[in-house]
Amino acid sequence: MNRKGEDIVKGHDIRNLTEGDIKMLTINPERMPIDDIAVRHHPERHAAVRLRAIRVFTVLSLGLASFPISAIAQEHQHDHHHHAMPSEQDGYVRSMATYTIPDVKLQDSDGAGVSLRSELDGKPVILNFIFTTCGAICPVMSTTFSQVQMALGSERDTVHMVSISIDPEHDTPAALKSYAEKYRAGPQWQMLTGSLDNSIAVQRAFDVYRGDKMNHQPATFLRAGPGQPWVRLDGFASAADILREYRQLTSN
Amino acid sequence: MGCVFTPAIGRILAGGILLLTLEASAVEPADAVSSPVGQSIYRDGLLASGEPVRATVQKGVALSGAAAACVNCHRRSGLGGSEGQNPIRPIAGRLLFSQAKLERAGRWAIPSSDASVRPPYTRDSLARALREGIDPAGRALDALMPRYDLGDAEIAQVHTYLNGLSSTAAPGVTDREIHFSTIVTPGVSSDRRSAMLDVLQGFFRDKNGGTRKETRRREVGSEQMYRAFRAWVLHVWELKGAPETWGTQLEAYYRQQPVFAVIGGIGGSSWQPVHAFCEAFEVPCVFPDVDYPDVAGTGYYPLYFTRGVTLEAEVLGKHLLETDLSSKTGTVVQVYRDNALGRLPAQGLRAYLQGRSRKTVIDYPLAETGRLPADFLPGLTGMGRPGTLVLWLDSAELAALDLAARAPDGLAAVYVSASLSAMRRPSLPETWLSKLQMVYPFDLPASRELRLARLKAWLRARDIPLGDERTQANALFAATVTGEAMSHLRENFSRDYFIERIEQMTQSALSPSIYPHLSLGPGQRFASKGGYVVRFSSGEGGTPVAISEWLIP
Repeated sequence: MNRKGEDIVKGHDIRNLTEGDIKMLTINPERMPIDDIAVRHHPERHAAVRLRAIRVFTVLSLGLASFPISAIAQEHQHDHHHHAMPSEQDGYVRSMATYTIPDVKLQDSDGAGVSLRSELDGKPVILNFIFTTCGAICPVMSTTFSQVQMALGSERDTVHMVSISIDPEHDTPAALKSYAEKYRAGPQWQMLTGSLDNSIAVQRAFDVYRGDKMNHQPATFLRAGPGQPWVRLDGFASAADILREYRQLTSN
Repeated sequence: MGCVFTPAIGRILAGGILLLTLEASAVEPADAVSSPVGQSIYRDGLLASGEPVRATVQKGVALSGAAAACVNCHRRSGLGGSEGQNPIRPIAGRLLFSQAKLERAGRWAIPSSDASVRPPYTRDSLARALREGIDPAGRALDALMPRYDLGDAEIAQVHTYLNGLSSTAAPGVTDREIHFSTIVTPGVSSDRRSAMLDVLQGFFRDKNGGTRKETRRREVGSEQMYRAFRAWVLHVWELKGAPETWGTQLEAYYRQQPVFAVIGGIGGSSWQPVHAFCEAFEVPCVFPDVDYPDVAGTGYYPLYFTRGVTLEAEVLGKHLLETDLSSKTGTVVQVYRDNALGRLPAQGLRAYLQGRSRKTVIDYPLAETGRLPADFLPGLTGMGRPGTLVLWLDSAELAALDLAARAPDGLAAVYVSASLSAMRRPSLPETWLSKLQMVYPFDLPASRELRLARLKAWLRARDIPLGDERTQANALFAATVTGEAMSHLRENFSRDYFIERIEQMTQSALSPSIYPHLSLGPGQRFASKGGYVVRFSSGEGGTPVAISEWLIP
């Protein structure tokens, strides 16, 4: 299922939103449709929608430091009192969605073939997309995963962390293996590659495919177990954010 | 007697390499590095003491050493770029230490105001930006910008380094012209040579013809895109004689007329001297059509389509491991020309199979006029186990083998190289053809024909005869990607920036190519990474039909 709620944002690329777009969102946040899952989890539809719009602004206000955002900031603070949710100011957008995992075969960093579907059908999953020659975004995301792993300590064996390459032709199993060593990935943190077509199929399924790897954007996905919806964190979620989401997800 | 590698020898070797490098750059001095310590912090994330630089990205993500180096995001040129939705600001001194307008114009352009102007950085405000992430106007920098733990002296070094970074136009660029060259080595057929030159010269004619009014626009206008305009000049550097002498010839050409970059090029044998020239003179050498690129992966300035015959050898190795399950212990006989280049694919396959299988690899180096003795193959592949024969030879050498009419019974398959056979089925006796397979690191005919229709239309429109498809497609790709990258540079005539733009745009380049998928990224130097194994349909000429997936070793 598509994450309809993100369409407005995706269509414009958050960073490219103009003042006009933001005014439009500010004035009429109800114009952002949300998907069924989000409604189920947020019965107060309007509040949920509004909250999501506000979080988009959070990302914007952090990123566009020089943007004249006084009006938005006021709006944000105003709402903040009413919706004391975690991570509102952390610069990422949280949403929930269901994804159909494509039935593809990928390879792990030992070159062994794995079926992605059955691989994800088990423990709680924390998943992201990376490539090994990526300069700005991936080192931060992978360091964050490394910190999550460290913070979990011995509890790490109860979770399955997965990083999927979006540059699979360059990221051979051997390349992933040395990348995994660089970030001291434990046995619970799996790096996956595969054919270009299969990698694209997985990226499309998670709605992170942006055509060219250099256009990629940071996102983290969490799921409590098979059949459960995914929590999607667009933007840079810190290790603390991911852990909090993970605990919340697995405590239910 | 063993050879012991002592630290003393290591130092001597390192010293020798250092001397060579200095000597090379002294011939045509590149921009002197304004601060070696600053460069070490910038590129390697290492302080003068050798200790790693330490930094923190938002919310406590600690980075150190290479991971904290400025070069990761701002790249070698310091001219910035983008990744995803994160803009990477240019930080080369002439842009950083002058006032900048932060562009915020979109569909609803914002009137220029104080908020959109960033005052020039000074050494003090640079320190504040690096340590606290605050710009000279007091605004917070992007959350991805690390906050650095650097002392005053170190920041002074970074300041000096940035001042010199990408500060002058690269050689080969004058007020009115930008010079490029292409390189042809001896041993290239005149057909392939003219196929490439026709395409490049056609491209240059278009480039200058289509933009001839821009000379005038540049002089009257203030728009940056016109100011960057230069007429394109192509020089053809023909090399002669033995490869050992090419370096001197290239230096002489370069001294006579420095070029901003080398576009395409075509190599009949070794390419190593050209690679060494590009690296020593820091000249980008963009996508030559060669089978023997430098695959050691140490180059920054040469960009290649593939790893050539080494890639083919590894694709074959992977194919043998994946298909030959019943005989992981079988025999592979490799026949190759007994010279430095001839040995490369054979060494590549042997190295790939070693440690991955228990196959017996038998090398059969062939002297210049050598043939296979009639009893050689039956002897090796007999004894009840099916053998694999690999012929790392070109079409003429294959014909000269004068194979027996009847292929040995124990022979399971014969593999040849598409690069060495010009992608065509070689002429072999009928019983051999039925066992023939080819390593094919190109797109398959049916699928590439659609894309290369564009190439053909381009050629036809310019009255350029259809020639060798691979040569023409590769030349047009090299020229087109150069054109696109140049238009991104605007007036920043930095070779590093040029390389960075190509790294970034190759994946989305619209130019047709003979490979199914080209892609680079930061530091990647080989754009196509895999290959097929094909057999040939029977009949005239034979059409390649894939019998493997696209294999990436």
